[in-house]
Amino acid sequence: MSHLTEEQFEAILQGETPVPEHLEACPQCQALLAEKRALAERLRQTFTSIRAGSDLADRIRANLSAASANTGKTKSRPRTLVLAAHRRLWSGLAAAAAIWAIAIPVSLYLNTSSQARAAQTELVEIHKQNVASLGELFLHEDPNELASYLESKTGHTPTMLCPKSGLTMCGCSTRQFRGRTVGSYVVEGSDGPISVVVIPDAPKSLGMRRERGGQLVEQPVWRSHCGGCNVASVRIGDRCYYAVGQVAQERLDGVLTDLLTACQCCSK
Amino acid sequence: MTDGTDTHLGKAARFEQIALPHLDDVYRAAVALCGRSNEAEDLTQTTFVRALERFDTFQIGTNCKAWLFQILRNLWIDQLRHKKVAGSAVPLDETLVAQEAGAEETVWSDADDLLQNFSDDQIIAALRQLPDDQRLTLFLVDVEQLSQQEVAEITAVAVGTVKSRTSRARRELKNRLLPYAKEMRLKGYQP
Repeated sequence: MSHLTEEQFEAILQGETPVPEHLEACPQCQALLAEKRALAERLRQTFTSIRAGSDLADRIRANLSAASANTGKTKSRPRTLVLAAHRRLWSGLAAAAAIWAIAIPVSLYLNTSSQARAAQTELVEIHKQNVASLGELFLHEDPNELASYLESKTGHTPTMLCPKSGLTMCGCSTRQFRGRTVGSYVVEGSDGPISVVVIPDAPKSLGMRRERGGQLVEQPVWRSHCGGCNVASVRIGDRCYYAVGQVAQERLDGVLTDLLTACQCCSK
Repeated sequence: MTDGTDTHLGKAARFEQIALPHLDDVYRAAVALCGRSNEAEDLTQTTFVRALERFDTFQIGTNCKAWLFQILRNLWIDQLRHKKVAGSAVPLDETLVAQEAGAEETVWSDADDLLQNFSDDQIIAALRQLPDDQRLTLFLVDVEQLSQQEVAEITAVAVGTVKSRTSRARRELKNRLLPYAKEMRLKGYQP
């Protein structure tokens, strides 16, 4: 049985040809096609959120205005403008450098700030979705089963809260964060539900502020407040754990402490 | 009767109306080529300035985005040549990496889920390791979802070359993601 050629795969991905009969009978080609589709989709997803900053748009408009005004006077001016842009970029003229020194950090700050706020909002949305669907979460009395469930969905085995923590496990779920599938679970404390969201993204990239953990958490904790919820985060291994809830920061600290303790137990 | 300045102001206004809405698309293509960097912003900026210079050659009603991509690609190649002359090691020949990727291929299980573990920056970093024309081709086909004919016109090659280049680029992108998968100890990237 001869498998599909690369050209046939590309044709199918482009939607150009009817699907060959071979594909229906061949699991290997089906898997390869699924992989190619997944790669294309992930690539598309990556670039969807990329936008030109307002600073860049302003610079281009200014360049275009200058170029068009000068072009009306002499035909060689637009070329001169491009060269001027290069000179500004590479020769480090003092005035231009001063503008860049101010404009780029400001632009980066604004972009980071808006992206960070959006990411925090996504975290809070995950918590709200969890709370709204408490009865539909995947629940098992064995934390290892919950961890296995999340691993099967996200490829990562999260640290779970120790059953002795005194918090009631409400279940776990997978949600979308920055276009990716991430794992989360909900625990019920005395003040209300708290979601724990496990993602690789560092709290700094979410615009959270770093604070000392205080009495409860020994390592630095990152905190923020967004959408009526408090958010706190610590890093465990290669993932960051975000506790989110409409509860006091101290309650979130308690959850993070339990997580860190559970982590130490696991490593023994 | 309008004088030259009025004509040029009209041209600039038309250009802004027709070309500038594609700013995000051009910037994304620049990021695909240069990564998230000032270089990507500079390339975007230069593309629009060059496009305005050549706006007289653009046929209203044709695909402006494809036209801008073509300008961006040509500017990028100019820059690469310049860097090469200056002694920088920039891969211009796609065969360099295509030959390297000759190892037997394994299919990822649950590729959808597996790929969600990579960060956007890892995806972009892996893409940037592809040869220049491969990564632009893959970007235009997969992200911009242009037809192979359009991509062939932008990259100045035959449609058959676009097909083979896309296929190689996809395989190569997967190879370039493997170190990250290993680093994160992801399951499913190997049998």
